[in-house]
Amino acid sequence: MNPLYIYNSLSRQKEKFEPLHPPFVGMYVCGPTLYSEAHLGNLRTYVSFDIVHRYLKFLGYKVRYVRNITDVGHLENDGDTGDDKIEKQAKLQHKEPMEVVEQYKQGYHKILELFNTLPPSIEPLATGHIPEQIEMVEKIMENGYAYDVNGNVYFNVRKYNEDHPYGQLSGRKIDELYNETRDLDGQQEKRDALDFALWKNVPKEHIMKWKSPWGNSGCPGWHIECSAMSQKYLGDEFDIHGGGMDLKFPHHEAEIAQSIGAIKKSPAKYWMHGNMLTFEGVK
Amino acid sequence: MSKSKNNSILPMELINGSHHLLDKAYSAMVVRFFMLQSHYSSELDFSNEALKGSEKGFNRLVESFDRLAGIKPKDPNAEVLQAIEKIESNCAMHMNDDFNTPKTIAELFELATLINKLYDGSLTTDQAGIDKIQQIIQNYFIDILGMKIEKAANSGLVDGLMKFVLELRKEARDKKDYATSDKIRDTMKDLNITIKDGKDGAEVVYNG
Repeated sequence: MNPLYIYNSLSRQKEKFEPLHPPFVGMYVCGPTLYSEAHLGNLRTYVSFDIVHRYLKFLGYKVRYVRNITDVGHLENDGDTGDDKIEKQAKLQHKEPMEVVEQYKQGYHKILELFNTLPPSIEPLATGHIPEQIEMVEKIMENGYAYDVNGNVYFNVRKYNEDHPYGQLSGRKIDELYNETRDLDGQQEKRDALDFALWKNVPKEHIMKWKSPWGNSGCPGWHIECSAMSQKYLGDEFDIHGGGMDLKFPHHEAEIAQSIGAIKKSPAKYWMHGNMLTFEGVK
Repeated sequence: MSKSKNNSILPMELINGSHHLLDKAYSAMVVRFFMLQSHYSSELDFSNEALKGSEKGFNRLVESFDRLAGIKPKDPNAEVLQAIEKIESNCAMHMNDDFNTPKTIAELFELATLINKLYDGSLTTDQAGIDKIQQIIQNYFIDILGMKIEKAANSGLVDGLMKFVLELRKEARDKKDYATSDKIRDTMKDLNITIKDGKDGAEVVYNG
């Protein structure tokens, strides 16, 4: 019988699956940002990785499946400007941000159960891992790949790219990325348009804010939570990292850069991406 | 599917059929089955036509799997056994090929065709063959693809019958005919169905 082969987005080819520490398999999948009900595209991703989870178990592997919930730091337009999606929704609904998350979390779990997906082994929340995220940002700064401007900490993509190639996963070259990048309001303090936020300074009236070495009122950037939580529960290097195709860039690309930037190790051996949905041919 | 567009559909809207683009409601298992009929790395287009096709396919599989219990073991047939083993090894081959669920499902349709032939008597197999088929269904359909064998067509019937049973029991209790009401409760218990009495009347819990 032929062994299991997995299409690895990183190498762009099918590779024989050889876990780092058999019979154990560590798998991290990016979960939802719970500012609204999970939509069908999200569901498809979780069903796809449910198959991976179930099949690895069937093959006899002991799988630790970590799928996070983003409850802070995910800004509108997936970038570094604009409101936090959850904080904004909380204001609209006159609720605590955690109330918004809790409300949609229940619906999310109900749907996943209805669609017969097995629950993950660990479902960590970004707000529950602030110290881990701060520590990782500090390590990246110590290594010279991040800088602080007025309480905002940015990842220095150009500096990183001098030592490690940036864009390996998405297959993008740094020069091409410049052509795609638009100048956005409020990003002038970045040294470079490609840099992304690791820590954000937020107004002190925000509910979701934490003290950090960079100020009294801040919150983590969107990408750092997955790096910090996957490392905490699966180790510096683990087997499979998955998510929807839409997360490949910039989110997963940033995760790889953050881990290498902090501990000089690429987090996952196999990167898997589930494709998107259309309805009657329309995205 | 973008959340900001009007055509985005929530999972619950598929299940209760409330979305304006949908002709009807679909069960969660049919939608899951539909998703698995495409490879995870391919774009998946939801349409009324495709969903109806998957519903038909899902029902065809479940109906044939249901028939397995009605097949009597007969003389072993080497060709049939070989066909069963071929389906199993193909399922493994497709899953090992980057989790190819659509091709695995295609094998399960082959299995359904085989079961139907065993059921109508045009082919025969022994108990070992039947057990092997049962194992493939358990491994691939239930454990790996994560499908639940739900009797979509019968659920209305079961609900109707249970409502009738509860009515009979209530009538018996109202007449203080506890022998009958207890007999109903105990018989249901033997069938793994618990009848719980609450403030708002009796409630049925399926323990299966």
